[in-house]
Amino acid sequence: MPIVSLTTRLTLLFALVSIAVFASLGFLIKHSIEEHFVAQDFAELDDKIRTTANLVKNLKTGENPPSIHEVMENTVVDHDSIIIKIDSSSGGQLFASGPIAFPFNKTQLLNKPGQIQRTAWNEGDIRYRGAAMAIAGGDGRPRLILSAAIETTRHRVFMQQFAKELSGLMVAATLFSALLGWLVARQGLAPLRLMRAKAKSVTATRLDQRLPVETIPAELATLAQELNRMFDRLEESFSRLTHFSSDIAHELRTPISNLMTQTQVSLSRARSTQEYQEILASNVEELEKLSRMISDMLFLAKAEHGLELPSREHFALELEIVKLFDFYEALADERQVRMQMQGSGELIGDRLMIDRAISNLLSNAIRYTPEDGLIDLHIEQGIDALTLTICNEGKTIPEQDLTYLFDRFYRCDQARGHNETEGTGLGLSITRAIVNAHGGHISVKSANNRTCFTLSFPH
Amino acid sequence: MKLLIVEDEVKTGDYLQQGLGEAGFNADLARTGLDGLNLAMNQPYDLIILDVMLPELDGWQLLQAIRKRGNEVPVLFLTARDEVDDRVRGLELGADDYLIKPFAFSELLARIRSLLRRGRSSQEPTRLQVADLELDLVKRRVLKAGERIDLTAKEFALLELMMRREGEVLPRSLIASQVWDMNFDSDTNVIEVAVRRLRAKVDDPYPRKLIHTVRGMGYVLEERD
Repeated sequence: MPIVSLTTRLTLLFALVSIAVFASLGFLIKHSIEEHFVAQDFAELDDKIRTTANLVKNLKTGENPPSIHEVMENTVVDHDSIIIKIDSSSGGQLFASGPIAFPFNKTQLLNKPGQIQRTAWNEGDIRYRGAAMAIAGGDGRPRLILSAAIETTRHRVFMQQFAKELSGLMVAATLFSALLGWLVARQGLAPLRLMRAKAKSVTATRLDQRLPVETIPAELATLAQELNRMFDRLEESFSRLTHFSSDIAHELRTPISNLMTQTQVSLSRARSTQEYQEILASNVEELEKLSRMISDMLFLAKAEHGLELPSREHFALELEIVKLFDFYEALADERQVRMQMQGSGELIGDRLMIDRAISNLLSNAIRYTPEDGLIDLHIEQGIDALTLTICNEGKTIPEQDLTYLFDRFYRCDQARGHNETEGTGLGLSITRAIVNAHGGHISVKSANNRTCFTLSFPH
Repeated sequence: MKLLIVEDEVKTGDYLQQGLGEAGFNADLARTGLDGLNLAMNQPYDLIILDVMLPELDGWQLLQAIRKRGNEVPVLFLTARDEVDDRVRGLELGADDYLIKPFAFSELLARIRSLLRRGRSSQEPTRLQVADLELDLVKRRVLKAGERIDLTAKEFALLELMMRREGEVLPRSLIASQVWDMNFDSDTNVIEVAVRRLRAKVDDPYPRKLIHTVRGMGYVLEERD
């Protein structure tokens, strides 16, 4: 089913509602007019009958009474459409202004004289309404039955005409309200068009555009807020990506320029084999660094899309740390740095990745701890999380650096490339990515010449 | 030892052939998947080095074709894509090992030698000897020029690895993985320090030096004149 636009949908609904309202209104109007006609007809008939009754009653006085027929002809029959008939209770017809058979129950009429009986009937195509009443004949004369009937064809014709006009009006009114509905819908949906126009103006280079939440109706404001939040996230990711690309370019430039200069200088004249070997070996070192940087960046790029753990196993964290201590022992010993660990705890995750994350932290700690300094690790199996704290002595890291510590290529000493043993500057970013991939969280605190990284893994 | 390299990248192919030739292997080079398949089916190779992205017939298909025809030659595949799925797929199709580009040549050599050694079920030695350096695997004892040397457990493991692979250049990553089970790019300083300390005990006090640094490649234990 094709998707109908909101405006169309609202307009259609509006039209449907109008049709329903107008149709019931029309039905009511028609019904009440008909009722009115019926009441009017019967009132006229009653009136006629009463007048006739009075006439007939007044007839009895006088010596030479004029015949009923005469009186009726002269006085009552002035109206074409009303037919009057006077019967005697014995069966004779005294007067009839038209040839109609009245379907009245004589016995009932005679039992309740003075009471008007009403009815309606069809004769052929013509519908009649009629009323009848019995009156006393007086002076020993038989009782009389007065009947009056009115033909209703004219009403029917009128009603048909009226219905026709009414439906015409209804159609016109419906169309008109549909048009109004369309205008209202358009007007009501104006904020949506505004949002669309705003959203249209958001591009890669203009990600700072936001929807004006204050001017948008409450129903749409939450949607606008959500959209704005989405824009925020997009903008952040986008700017990170942009920075990342420029950082990559920057980081790659130095080693590549070293390689190029060195190679070109060495090619500028003939050299001894040993010199060539030296140059090539030095090139390899630069290249290895580049290669490591590339694989680290790839790892992070993948982590951006949500790192998938290659394996999930249950393992004892303290045993991994013992293994890492074993690995770093010689280096720490040489730098005269001591390492110690307390506590134990179980972790579910990828062992290799966790090793790598902790290895980066240890390697950093050894690098920045002064001689005779201490690195201590603490594992705590809490109720809802496993916490690993890695603390090392060493210069306090300034507050403003702490915020960026996990950013790619961020080095607080700003000594980029000065130190041969310097890593790729991606270690902490990788550590964070790994911890996050395990549903964990990493934070850092530095004060009083002591820096602590805290890794917490919820169960 | 006869090797087949299937690699379409011209420079890589040439250098691999040269490097492996100089390392004492007889290496053939095929530049397309079909050529590789023809060579692999018609000549006896001890090992095939297979690039995944190849024209005509890719590495996966080539590997499948070879295995389908009952050729069980060890295959080491090279891939530029570090995807777990790729690795798993390669190993499922019957590859024996893989390396991700860019790789260190010394790493490739070490892997090739491991694969070639595999299957040759030689008797586990109880004693290793290089020149006047002796390592007793049962008693966990090291003697140099008849004198006993005290080593830590990891130093012993490192020396054992280097002696078993006498004459092979061992890249730092291989040492980290074999001795410390560190299977990721870790701080390479650690290996330097560890080798330096081992040297201080095994080589420095004696006139015959056995552990040598090959700059840019790694370390080798061998007797040199």
